[in-house]
Amino acid sequence: MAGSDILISLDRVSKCYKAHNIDAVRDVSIDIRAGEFVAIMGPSGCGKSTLLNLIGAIDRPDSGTVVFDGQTVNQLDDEALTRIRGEKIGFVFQSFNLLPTFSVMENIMVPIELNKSKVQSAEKRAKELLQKVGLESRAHFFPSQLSGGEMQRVAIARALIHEPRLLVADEPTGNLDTQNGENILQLIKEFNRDFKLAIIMATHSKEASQTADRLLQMRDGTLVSSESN
Amino acid sequence: MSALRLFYAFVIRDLISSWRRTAITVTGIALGVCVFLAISLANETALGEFKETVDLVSGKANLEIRPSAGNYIDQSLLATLAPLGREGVVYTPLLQANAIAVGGDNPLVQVNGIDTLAPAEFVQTKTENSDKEESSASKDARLSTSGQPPEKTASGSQNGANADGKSNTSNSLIEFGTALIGEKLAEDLKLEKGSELALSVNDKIVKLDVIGVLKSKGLGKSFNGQVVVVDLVTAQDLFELPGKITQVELIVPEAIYADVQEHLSKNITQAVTVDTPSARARTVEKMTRSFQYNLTALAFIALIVGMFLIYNTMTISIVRRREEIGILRTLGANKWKIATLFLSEALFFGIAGSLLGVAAGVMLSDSALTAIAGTIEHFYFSHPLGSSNIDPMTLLKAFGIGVALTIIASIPPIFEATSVAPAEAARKGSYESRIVHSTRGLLVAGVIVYLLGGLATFAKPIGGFPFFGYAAAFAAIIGTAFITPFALNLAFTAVNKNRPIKSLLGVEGTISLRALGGAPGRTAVAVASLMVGISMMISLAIMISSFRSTVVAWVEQTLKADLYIQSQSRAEGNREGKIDSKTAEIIRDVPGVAAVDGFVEHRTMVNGEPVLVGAGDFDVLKKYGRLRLVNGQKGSALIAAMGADDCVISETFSVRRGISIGDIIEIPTLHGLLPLKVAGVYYDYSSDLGYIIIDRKQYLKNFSDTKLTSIAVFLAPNADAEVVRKDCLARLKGNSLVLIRNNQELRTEAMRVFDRTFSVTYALHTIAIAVALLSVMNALLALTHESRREFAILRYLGATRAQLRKVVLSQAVILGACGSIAGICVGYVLSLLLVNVINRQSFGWTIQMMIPWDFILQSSALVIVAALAAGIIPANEAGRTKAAEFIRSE
Repeated sequence: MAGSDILISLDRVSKCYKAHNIDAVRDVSIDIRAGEFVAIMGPSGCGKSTLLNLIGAIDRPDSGTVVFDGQTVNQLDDEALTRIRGEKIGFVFQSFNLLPTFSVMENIMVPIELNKSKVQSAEKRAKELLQKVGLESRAHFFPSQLSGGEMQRVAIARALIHEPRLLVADEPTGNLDTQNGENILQLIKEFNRDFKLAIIMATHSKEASQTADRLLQMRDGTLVSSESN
Repeated sequence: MSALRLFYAFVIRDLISSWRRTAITVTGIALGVCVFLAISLANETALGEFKETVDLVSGKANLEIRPSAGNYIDQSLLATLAPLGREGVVYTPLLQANAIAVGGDNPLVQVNGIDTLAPAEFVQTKTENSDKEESSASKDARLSTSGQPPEKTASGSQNGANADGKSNTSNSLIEFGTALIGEKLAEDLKLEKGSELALSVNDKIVKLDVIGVLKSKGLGKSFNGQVVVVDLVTAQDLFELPGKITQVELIVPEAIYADVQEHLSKNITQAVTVDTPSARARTVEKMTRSFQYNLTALAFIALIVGMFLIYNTMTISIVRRREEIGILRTLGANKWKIATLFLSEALFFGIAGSLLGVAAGVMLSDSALTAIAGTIEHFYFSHPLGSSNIDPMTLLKAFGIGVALTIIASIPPIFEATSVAPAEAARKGSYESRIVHSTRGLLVAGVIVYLLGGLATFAKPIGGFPFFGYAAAFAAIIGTAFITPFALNLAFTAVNKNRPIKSLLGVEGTISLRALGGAPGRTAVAVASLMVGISMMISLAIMISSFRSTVVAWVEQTLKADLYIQSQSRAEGNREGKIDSKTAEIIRDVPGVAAVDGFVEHRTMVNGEPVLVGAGDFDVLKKYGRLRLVNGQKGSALIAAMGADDCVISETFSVRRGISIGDIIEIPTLHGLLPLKVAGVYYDYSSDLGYIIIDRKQYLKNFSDTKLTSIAVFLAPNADAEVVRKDCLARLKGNSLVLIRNNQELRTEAMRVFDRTFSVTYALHTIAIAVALLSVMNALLALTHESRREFAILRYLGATRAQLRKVVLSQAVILGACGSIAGICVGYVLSLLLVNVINRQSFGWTIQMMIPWDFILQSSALVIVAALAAGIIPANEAGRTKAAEFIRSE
């Protein structure tokens, strides 16, 4: 494995929520390559979401180092972390988290507009993404008019509008039925393959985890195993 | 769980954890109650102090004889009363008039000319050292005496004996040219026994020897302690009113009260009214009624805006806790239990806010009194108004109103909370979706309320108070509040569809707009409360501006004389200060003077209501008069055509009494009722009591007062006003102490009085706006709290903290702008009601509409800036959103 392929590197990272006296993540070290699809499994409360937040530049570790695309995240201020998220990371959540008062197209365009990127080229890309997720006819619908599966497709399109290098997916199929869940995983896998997009996905589902290239197992905040599929 | 534990867990904990919302709401209620209380206390004090003075001067007197024509009675009337002495009636004459204390901070004083020989029943005052010494000055100052007509003694006092044969206990307490003075006056002027008191009486300066300082009780407390007690003859001499008195106070045994009244009405030939002393206070109450009612109505504005704030707070509380309500309902809590919990929360707000408001109102009452004192003293009655009297009942009333309005404003959201099924209550956004579904219903309700308001404008006032005019204004406010959700929905949809506007707003603006549009209930209440405050401000600004421009035009067209003369005493604040008629004769001979119009006025009662009777020199007015007649006729032509028994009346008198040209009115004169035919109605903005103007010749025939209130001087062409003024002052030196203003100075003074009158209005609507802004802050805090999820998502999507702050600040600006636009529209409607209905019915003035665009634009910009400021705390809260924590809690 060439060192230059590493997109994210976590070295002995720990995170403690002092208010609740919880060691959410303890001494975790992990490297994720560009274009790699990694799944994290573990019981509820084992620290999956916290680890995703650390990887996704949402949170800073209490100790250890997080290096994203050659940049040490620990030292960055809030502005810089926001810039990294806005430019290089996309997020997909279990409960979709679309903005309810925005249409499908508007939801997809929000990251572009927030980052003051070029809107016109982004609109073209948004339409392509909508086509890719099979919702071109729903561009002007509002979230309340969509099914769960459709909402998650919109969320994926939104996560990819700014052409990120990493997609962080926290239980993306958790709120979907089996068929829709499979479709979403298929879609994520396609993006991973077509765009060389690195993906880190937390999941409870064994089937979902098998879609990934590598599976990490977590328990009580620590990484207990790492195996390739 | 006991009710108390549930109350603590459900209400108190939430009030503490949402301390900002609690503080904002309590402050809003406190401001409303504070303003209402301060104005109520000021109003009551103004009237109360007048009543107190009447009571203190009249003491135990239960009947009073006062002039019904002019200001004075001839003291020969006392002869008529002599037989009553044998029936156990005691009485005393009194000459009461105002003067200016030279060198004082509060120069207006009331001079009481009393009969110094008083039986115990009339004893009113004690001097400061009366308990220690027995000097003549230290003994009681008495308000009178005898069962016999007064007989002038060497000292100027009167002597006599009571009907029961007891002789009066003292005489010559106050000698001619000496005075007892009130404690406050003594302090102000740093006077003591042996000092000399200088008074500006009419157009003269007179001096009195102070022989004692009255204790601050009884007569010494009257007129707020700014009282001078002299013997009757001294007073008659001071005011150049030989043989005149202003009233007779009588103590009549109850058993013969009716007989005495009958005796008096049969035997008194002079033009007098016989009534209880309190009747005078009732007259003053009538005079100031419109002013005080309207001031109270204005003070209510902040309370009404406060109701929107409470409605908003309770809605927020209920919406935020719908899930909890659903859980409690599921666990068996019935509707009443839920209602009781929220009612107890409302009660907390009401009690805490009202208590704070009462405390603040008491502190502000003196400022409120100062703000209205000038207007009351100028237009209605002269009485020094020191500090507010704190009546516990008024405090209780303000507290009760604060609590009651809080409960009333809470009822709709509480009803909403209890009317939904448990399953629906637990569903997020169900409140807003109910609002979305009811926008059309609210629109229809709003239109109906507007129509009812329109109908109310046709109704007549009740007891002189434009009740239905205010009801129409209230309907306009409520109607607009009902229409607001629909209008906002329409506006937001239009903006959302408009790409140029969207790109102008940017992503932050668009997010704010969508968030506001997604919470129509909360947004509408915030906009409506701001709308109420702004509409009041705009309507009052239009009304005042229109009124001001009307008065400016009226002053310019009416005040045409070159010089105006009034006594020094009147110029310094004594509205009773007059000029000797000889002064007019002296002025007439000054080179450069073409004509002199001496004007006199006094208050009288026509059909039980007070009005001013004024008289001018019609021969002068024929040539120089510039009365603006309502029917457009030329004033001088009308005067020239008028007969001796004709009069012109002011518009206020005409409108408020329903009197038109050709009608006959009867005014009380020395010779009985004088019928006058109304020849014309003229515009007048100098008094809301109204004027009846007659020729001076007619006045002199019917009233004994030869003095003048003011003199208008018309100069010959090419005469220099400044030269003539100096010449006049030189000729009057030593004879008459007057103030001479030129035309421009008088106009400036007129506008100064106008501006002072409305200064309190500006203060009141500023406070209303402050309460409205609290409502905006409250709404923004709630929106921010509820938007935490969206803010967290935005943070994940790359939004910076600054962008989130910008979102909330954009919401503040949008709310401010919507409130301003709605406020300006409703403000215009309200101004039409104020000018054409409320003002017309209260005061009878015609006001030409004038819209102060510069003020409207400036104040709207200021409101938006203030809304932006109100958004700072919620914006910072939004900026602190911790996305990771949100996701974890999810």
